[in-house]
Amino acid sequence: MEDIRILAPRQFHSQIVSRRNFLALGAGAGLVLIGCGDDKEATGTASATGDEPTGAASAPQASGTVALYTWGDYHDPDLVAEAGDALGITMNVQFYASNEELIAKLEATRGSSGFDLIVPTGPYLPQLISKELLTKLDKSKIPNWGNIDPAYLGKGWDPGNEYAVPRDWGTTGFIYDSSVITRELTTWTDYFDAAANEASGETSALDTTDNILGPYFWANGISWNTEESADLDAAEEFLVNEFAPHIKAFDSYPSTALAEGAYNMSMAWNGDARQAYVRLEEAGRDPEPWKWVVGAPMTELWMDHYAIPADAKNPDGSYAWINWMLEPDIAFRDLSYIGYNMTVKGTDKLAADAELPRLDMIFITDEQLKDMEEGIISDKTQNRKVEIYNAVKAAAGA
Amino acid sequence: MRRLRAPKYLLALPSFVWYGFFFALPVLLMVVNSFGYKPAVGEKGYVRLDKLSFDNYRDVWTDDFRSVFFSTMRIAGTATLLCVVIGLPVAYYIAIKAGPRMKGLMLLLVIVPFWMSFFVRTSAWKIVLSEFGVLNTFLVDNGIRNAPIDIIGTRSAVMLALVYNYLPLMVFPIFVSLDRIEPALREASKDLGAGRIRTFLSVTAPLAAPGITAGAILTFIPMAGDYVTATILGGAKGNMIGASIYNFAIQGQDVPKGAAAAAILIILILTVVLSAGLIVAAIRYVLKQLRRVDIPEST
Repeated sequence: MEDIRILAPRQFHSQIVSRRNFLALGAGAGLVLIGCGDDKEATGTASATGDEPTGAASAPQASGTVALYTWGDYHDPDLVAEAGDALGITMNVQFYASNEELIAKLEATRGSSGFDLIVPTGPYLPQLISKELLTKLDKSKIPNWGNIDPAYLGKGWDPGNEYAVPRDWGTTGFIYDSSVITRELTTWTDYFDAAANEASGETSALDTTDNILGPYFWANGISWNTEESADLDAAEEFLVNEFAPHIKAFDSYPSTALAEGAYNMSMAWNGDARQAYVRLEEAGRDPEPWKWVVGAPMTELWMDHYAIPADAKNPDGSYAWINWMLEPDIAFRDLSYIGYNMTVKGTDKLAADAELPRLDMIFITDEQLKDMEEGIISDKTQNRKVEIYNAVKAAAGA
Repeated sequence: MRRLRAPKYLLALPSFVWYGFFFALPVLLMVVNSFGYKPAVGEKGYVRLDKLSFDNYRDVWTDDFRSVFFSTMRIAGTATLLCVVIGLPVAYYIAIKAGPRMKGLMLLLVIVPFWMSFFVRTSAWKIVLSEFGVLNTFLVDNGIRNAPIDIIGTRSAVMLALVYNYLPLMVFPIFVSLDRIEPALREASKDLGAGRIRTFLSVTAPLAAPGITAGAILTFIPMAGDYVTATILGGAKGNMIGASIYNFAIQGQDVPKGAAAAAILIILILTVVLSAGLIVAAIRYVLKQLRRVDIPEST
């Protein structure tokens, strides 16, 4: 079997509640009540408008509750709330902190996880599939399948897209306050250098094993999938001694804390970095001095997918949600909220037409794409990487 | 007439079963898992037990693990002491000074924070303490400070939130032990000529000691395993041992190693608590000998 490829393991989603998350949770609670009322209404209208074939004829029938297990703050809460009216399902959204946590939970509760829909990252699909934790997709229940841009189909982690529906993708870089760090930063080397100087003690890094190690390798022109023990040793040496002492926090969702003044420089995924501008405005601060840098000379490329756990109780509800999310205008609304490239054809044009702010942070140019690499999960290096990650954390806490 | 009597342990049986099933069994499983090894990526299951060894213990017991463990003990130990220092006067006031209606109200106020989720009440401190938060805005706007104080991301923030989160667990046991002390005992002490301080030290405090001990155990042990508070408010400086275990078991997808780390933690915390208990017992013994009053036999 070929090596399993890994993308961004985003962490601590569930642990860092931004104000928006908090509102979303409140909305979720309200939604349960609304959803219950709407169920009856939805069936009522369905029969009343049954003769109108506006896509509803081919759309899968669904009802009940769909337990969506996903990343934090990763779906437009309005869409989650509207699922009752639009689909006749009630969404129950829960968050995981990393792909590893998702897999651990599904594996430990095999057969009774209680989740109907998950959003794993590409490189983790092979292990989910070989562990028999996913349902084979019935594409006849996803009439909007054709709306997916074929560029995102048939990836190595699930060649026939038998198990997973690509949803969105993005990259990693960093955001810094140019009123504090006045020189221009453009590379990972600059990131480490600024962390050791102007932003010492005011820097945050993503809280995942691969995102701590990746930037060091990229800065030095090494693939982050390297299996050379000399590379890993050098990474440990540098990160523990030169980087860890300057880290203020390991934070995968730095936008809220950043707006509250916690950091002058934060490593972030592009959509989250974009949300930092919104948070800064919400906090009444001037977002202008903040600059976004896509990691260079190399950085990561990740892609998340919808998949249905093998033990899903309401797979039809999951299909209904997936199918709905593949409607271009719905996908566009989701994009407007999360700020990541969607895989549905035409959403980029909709975003451009709507003149969404900071389009350059959402969309990745072909030029940038050339310098991005997907991750690989390897048995050979995983333990060593976690060891280094623990060492960096111990050094940062000392 | 003889009546059939149920065996004495029958009433306790449900809790034995509960603890056996939901506490003893999982701990046992964890210990068993700690001797196994992790399956290759993509294989079913999270542990293989066909080959048992102590390898995980050896791999986990590194310098980093020890240094994080000791810093965790320092944080939890200091926070426990602070809880005693703050909790004792509060419990004393509620149990002894407050009137009956006030007592109920104050006990209610002590548990009010527990109505909120642990996570929310910890996060709430960020709003208060952050650079542009309530506290700093107040200090700067009123000219008390020129620049905001950077509290988030320091040990102080972690300490503050730990004390805040666990204080009720200290107040309640002390309150219960103080509440049971008959006022007559304190009056007797006064009648025998002891002042307030002497009465407190010789009568009230020794009788409250079991409450303080219970409170210390109830706060120290969960604090030692808590890493949520530390992660939210301490940033990189809040790296506690619980996070290391999470990293082994979840980030590394290595449940056996996480189990070994957890087993080591259980043993170490037990050792710390037992040593502390022995030291306290020794001190009490010495004090007792020193303060011993021999009543001469009357003839």
